[in-house]
Amino acid sequence: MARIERLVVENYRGSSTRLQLDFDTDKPITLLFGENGTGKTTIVDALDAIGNCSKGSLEDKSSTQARDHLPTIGKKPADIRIEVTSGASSWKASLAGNNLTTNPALRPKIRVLRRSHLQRLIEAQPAQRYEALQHFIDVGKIERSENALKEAATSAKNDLDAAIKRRVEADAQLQKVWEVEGKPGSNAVEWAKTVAAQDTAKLEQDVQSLRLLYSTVAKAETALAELQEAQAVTTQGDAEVQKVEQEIAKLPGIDAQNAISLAGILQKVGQHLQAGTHTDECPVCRQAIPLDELKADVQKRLSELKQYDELRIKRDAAAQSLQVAHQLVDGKMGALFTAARALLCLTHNCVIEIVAAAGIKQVDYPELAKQNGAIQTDELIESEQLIGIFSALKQSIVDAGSAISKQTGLVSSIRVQYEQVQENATATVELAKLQSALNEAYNTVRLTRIEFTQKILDQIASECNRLYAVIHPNEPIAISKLALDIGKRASLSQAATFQGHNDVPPQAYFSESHLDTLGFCFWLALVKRESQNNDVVVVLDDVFTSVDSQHIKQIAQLLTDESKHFAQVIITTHQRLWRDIYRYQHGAGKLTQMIELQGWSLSKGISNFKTRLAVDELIASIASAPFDRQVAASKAGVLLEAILDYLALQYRCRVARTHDGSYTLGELLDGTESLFKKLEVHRPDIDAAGQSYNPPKYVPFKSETITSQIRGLTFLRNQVGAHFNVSGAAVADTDVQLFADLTVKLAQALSCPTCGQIPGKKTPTHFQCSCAAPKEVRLQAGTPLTIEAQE
Amino acid sequence: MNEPTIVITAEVLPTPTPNDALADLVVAKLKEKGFVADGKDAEISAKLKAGTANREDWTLWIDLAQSKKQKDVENGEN
Repeated sequence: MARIERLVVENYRGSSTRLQLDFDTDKPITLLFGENGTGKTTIVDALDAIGNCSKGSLEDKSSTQARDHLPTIGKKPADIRIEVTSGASSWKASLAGNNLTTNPALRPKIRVLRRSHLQRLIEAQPAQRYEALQHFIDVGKIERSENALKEAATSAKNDLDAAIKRRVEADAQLQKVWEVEGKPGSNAVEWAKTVAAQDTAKLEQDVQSLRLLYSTVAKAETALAELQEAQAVTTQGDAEVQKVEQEIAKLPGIDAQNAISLAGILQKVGQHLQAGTHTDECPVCRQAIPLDELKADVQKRLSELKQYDELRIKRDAAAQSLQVAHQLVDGKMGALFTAARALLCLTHNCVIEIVAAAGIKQVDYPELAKQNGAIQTDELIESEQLIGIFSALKQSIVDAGSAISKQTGLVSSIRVQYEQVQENATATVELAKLQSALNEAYNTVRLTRIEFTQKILDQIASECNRLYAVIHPNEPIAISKLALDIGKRASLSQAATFQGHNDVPPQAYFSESHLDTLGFCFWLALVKRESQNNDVVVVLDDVFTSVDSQHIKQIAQLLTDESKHFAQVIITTHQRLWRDIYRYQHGAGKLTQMIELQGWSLSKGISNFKTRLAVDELIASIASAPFDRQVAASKAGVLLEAILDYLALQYRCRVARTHDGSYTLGELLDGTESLFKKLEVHRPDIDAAGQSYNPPKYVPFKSETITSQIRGLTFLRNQVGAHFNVSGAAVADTDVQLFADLTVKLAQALSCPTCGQIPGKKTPTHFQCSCAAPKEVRLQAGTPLTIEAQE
Repeated sequence: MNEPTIVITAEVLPTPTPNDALADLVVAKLKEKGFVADGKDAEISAKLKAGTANREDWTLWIDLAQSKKQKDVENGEN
């Protein structure tokens, strides 16, 4: 952001009338001087409202309400007008309820330090200190990701532990099986590897072969049993037929065979006559006979042959059963031969150990070996023999099958276990690598973060200490530690160096003034870091009340030197010394705009006036018409005293001691006489093109001639400038003018035309002004640096 | 009494933000140590800057980088 050009405040705090402050944008520093109650804090509060939406000095005050107490007494929030203009931009602040808002919302970077806040950075709790610095070290998003990485590493560790547990369990289980199996091989894993490599498909095939063999044997046994059953039925049928024949043979009377035959014929005739319609004639001889008579005759005769007819039926049934039994025997016989041939087939190139061991040869079964046996009896005998042999092997087949099944189960089980052992071993190795890598990555991220934030904190502490050393040179006081508290979240610990001790809390040992300057340096270091684009406006609200005059000069010099890092530095003070440092050119008066606030009242509001350099005021008074000799003599005398006092102090000249530490002009001139004999002002020379030489060349100038002339006119200061007396009245205006002119000449000769400062920045060989080399003006009076030391 | 506040605020953070600057630094460090597989820089950097890298992301990233390392070793041996 550019420098603030204008601030307009109305009806806000003490600005009971419209206040307009026009800032000189050519000057990096603005000094607002005013005694207490002239409106300095109102101006700072207005800037704070624009830059930070802050209620400013009311922020920390209890029993105050923004809406009631920010408006000037008797005014309403809506009456408030605060406006800041900078280049083409302008911002307005308004109060709604108790909240201040700035429009536009993207506010200018105005940072305010108040006296009441000065020591807070130093005295704050670690958490509050972190809060103040968190903009510069807040890496919360990285910390979130870092925590996720830590979780990943922990999770991988848990996975690894689980994998190790599984591996141990699998190893133990395998070991147990190995021991049960009699510890074959060198160790459990090697044994398991060998077992797992076995071909279970072959074992499965053997089991299938044995199952087929068993089932074939069982089928053959069934076929044989069924044949034998069928043969038994045939035998029984034969016996039944024989028994009926014997019963027939025992029948009395006529030829039984014929009677049985006749009964059969009559039975059929009777059935024939019962079915359908017939004429009245015999169906055999065609003799005419009534049909009813014929039917009755047949029935009568059948009744007579009933016994024979029953035996006929019995004999026919027995014969039929026998025939069926024979047919069944034939079928069962065929089935038996098929089953026996199947058995015989299994013996061909049989790989089943049990069958091979039985020594069954196909040649021993010639009929079965044929596709169709020729001699059934032989075939039957061979079948029965073969089945008998195989029946005897059945238990062995079952046992062999069980043994192979058991072996297959064992191989499968060991294979699973071996694979588990191997998988767990691999997983353990992989997880161990992953966990180690995640841990290393976590440590990398963590350490990088800590180093990163610590580097920033070191830079802040280092800058703070550098600034502090400028204000308090040669004092072994500094911040020794500014570090994140690793054990806590968002906590920043701090320690200081004091009297050789490097780890003390500064608030416990530092004086009030030292704490103030330390707090100021800390704050300035932070704001400077924020102002990387030289875009922060620094506002110091009457901050240095506890600091003595010597250190105020150091701070003024520091602010001048550091002002190039900021958009603008605005200092408010009630200390006249601040104003005089610039006004009398002990500081960079030409780089500083001076505004003086005077006499606030509710009706008049805040009054402000531009303050000029004392030398400029003197020049103006010399040029004024009519010439005011008293003013000119007085102003020249005061300016001369200010210059001589400054130089006497800077070079530690011997000045006659007085009770109250105040010196007359004559005493100061006497005291600095030896200084002016040696004192040279060195101004940078420039070439024909107006450029500085590199390395720089300096043109020396001795101001002794001016002071020698002044010496004879010093009486004018009192006689004309301060008192009414006859001798003063006798002094001519030209003498007064000469005195004033010589004073102006001395001030201009000694000061830098650019920054306006009489060189006061100490180096080992000279004092220099606030301009950067090679444009700086130097004061040189020999070495050692001070007259006191030289004498 | 009100809690004392420290008057340092900044609406516009330094560019890049500390978080972004650190994210770039972290990715560079991880890469230096072989924890970033080829082509993953941008993804890791983006998630670090957004603060959204989770456990699964890290496991995947590191696993990928480890696999690549392992492959390189094997290829070297071959």
